Amino acid sequence: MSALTPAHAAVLRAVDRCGTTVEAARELHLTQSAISKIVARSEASLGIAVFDRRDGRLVLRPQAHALMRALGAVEDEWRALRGSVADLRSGRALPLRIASTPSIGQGLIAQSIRRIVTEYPQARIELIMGDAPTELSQGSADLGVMFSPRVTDDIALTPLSHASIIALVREDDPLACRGSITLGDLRHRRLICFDREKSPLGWLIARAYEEAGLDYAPFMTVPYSISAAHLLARHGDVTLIDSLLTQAQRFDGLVKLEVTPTLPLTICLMTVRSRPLSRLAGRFVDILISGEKAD
Amino acid sequence: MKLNAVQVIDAFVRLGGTGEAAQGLAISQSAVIKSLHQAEHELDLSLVATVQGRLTPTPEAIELMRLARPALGSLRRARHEADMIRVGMADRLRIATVPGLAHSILPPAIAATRLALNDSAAVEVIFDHVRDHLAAGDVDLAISYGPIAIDGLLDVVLKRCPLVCVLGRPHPLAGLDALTHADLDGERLISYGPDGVSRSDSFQAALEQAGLTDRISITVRHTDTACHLAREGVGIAVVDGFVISSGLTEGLAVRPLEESPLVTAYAHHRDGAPLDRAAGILLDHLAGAAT
Repeated sequence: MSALTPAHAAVLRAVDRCGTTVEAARELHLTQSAISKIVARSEASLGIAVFDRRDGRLVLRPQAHALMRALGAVEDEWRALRGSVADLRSGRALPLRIASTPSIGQGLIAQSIRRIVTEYPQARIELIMGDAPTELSQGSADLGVMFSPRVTDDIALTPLSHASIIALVREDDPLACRGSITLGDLRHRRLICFDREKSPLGWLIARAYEEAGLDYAPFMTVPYSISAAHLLARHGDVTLIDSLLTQAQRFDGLVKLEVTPTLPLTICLMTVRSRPLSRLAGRFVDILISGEKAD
Repeated sequence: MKLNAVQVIDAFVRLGGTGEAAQGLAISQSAVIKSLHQAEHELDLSLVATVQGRLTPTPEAIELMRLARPALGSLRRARHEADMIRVGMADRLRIATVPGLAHSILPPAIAATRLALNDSAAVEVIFDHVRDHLAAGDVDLAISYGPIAIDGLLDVVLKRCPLVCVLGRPHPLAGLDALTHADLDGERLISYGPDGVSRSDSFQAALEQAGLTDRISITVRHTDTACHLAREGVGIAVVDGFVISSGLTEGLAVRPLEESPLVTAYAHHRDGAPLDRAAGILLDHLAGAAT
């Protein structure tokens, strides 16, 4: 015997409201015989008579009032569920959570977000500034985009694009007119840079210093390139940051210098191998990888 | 959205795979996969992904089932209402309770209520999820160890009582008039785990205040289990003093715990609508039974 379904609940409620199968059929745009069959089938599946038949009318049995209220809740809840499906489809119910750094967020990711919101105008997006591998492992992010990250086996890396380390100095700095510098040129300068343990960029720069026979000893360490650029305006002489930041944002009074030999960076997409992506996240990955831009 | 499809997605998400869902629903795996793909098409949602060679629920499928819980619950409740009509319990007093209080203050209050109503009141007692049952309108009255404190629900303090120790009569400590914290050192203690419903569970708070939370070796859900274990000589049950008003401690020694903090029993009902007659009488008896 078929179980009570939400559609059956709607029919029983309509019959209760209208009092006849003819009226209920009109209200629900069904035939009268279909309504009669559904009422009979529902009563059979519930194992009780819901209505008394009196003078051609169906009258709710006194003991079925609580049941009718329960059927009302069925109608309301299933209507709400249909609305939730639309929210899921539009990306409103499940946010796309991307862990990244400000410079990647303002450049590469901002462009891709611009593209995806043309397809999913109602999508909710959370841009998380934090340690992407940790956010991914904890399940608080769906995707991560980072410079050359160090990750566990469960995180898949897909190279997206390349950048390099550049130096920023104030425009009144003697180095400002040089166009490019070596790490040796920075030997006696007060450096604002990344911690070698906490940041992949810090690790990369520290290694380059060691290969050049220099001590890597920033006097101030920062988590992000953007923090370094802002601090440089007041403290320190020079900072080494990723080249994406100055592509995305202008810093008045600061001059960008190439570093030779080049310190290349790879920007990688990170996804968790054991966790499937939502459709929205999957589409975002496609956009990132293909480099699609908004029209 | 078809009920069958929702049931298949639910089994797939709950059990984590198509094979498991097929087993759970007693249908073939290919029928599960077909149904999932059909639902994907009809709902225009991605529900299934292949991860490391295995069909796995997507985040959308998991979220959809989280959102579908109230809808599936409403159907269950409607079927339950029909069952109650079938067994002649359409008009009944519905009570939700935490297990700790279910067998102490509740049975005598129910008996007195039925007596007051000339034995005519049908009663349905539901365990656990007190707050959810009340909020959903599944019950008329609920009892627990703490205030629920959410809008639309009223918390009524019934009565307070101290913790007591229940032990077998042959137990060496049964000869004492009252037990101290120090007396319980080295004893195996039996008590309840948190009820998981109350904003602040006064029973757990009393255990904590008495310095016994970390001393409990055996947690049980029901007073009678605690008393039974004490009777078997497994250990000493530390329970609320409401147990004295029940017959559960017959043949056992009940000793007060000195300087015990108080445990509070609460009743809860929906605010706004008046309690129906039977629920009102039960509430009066609960308050009375607890004194």
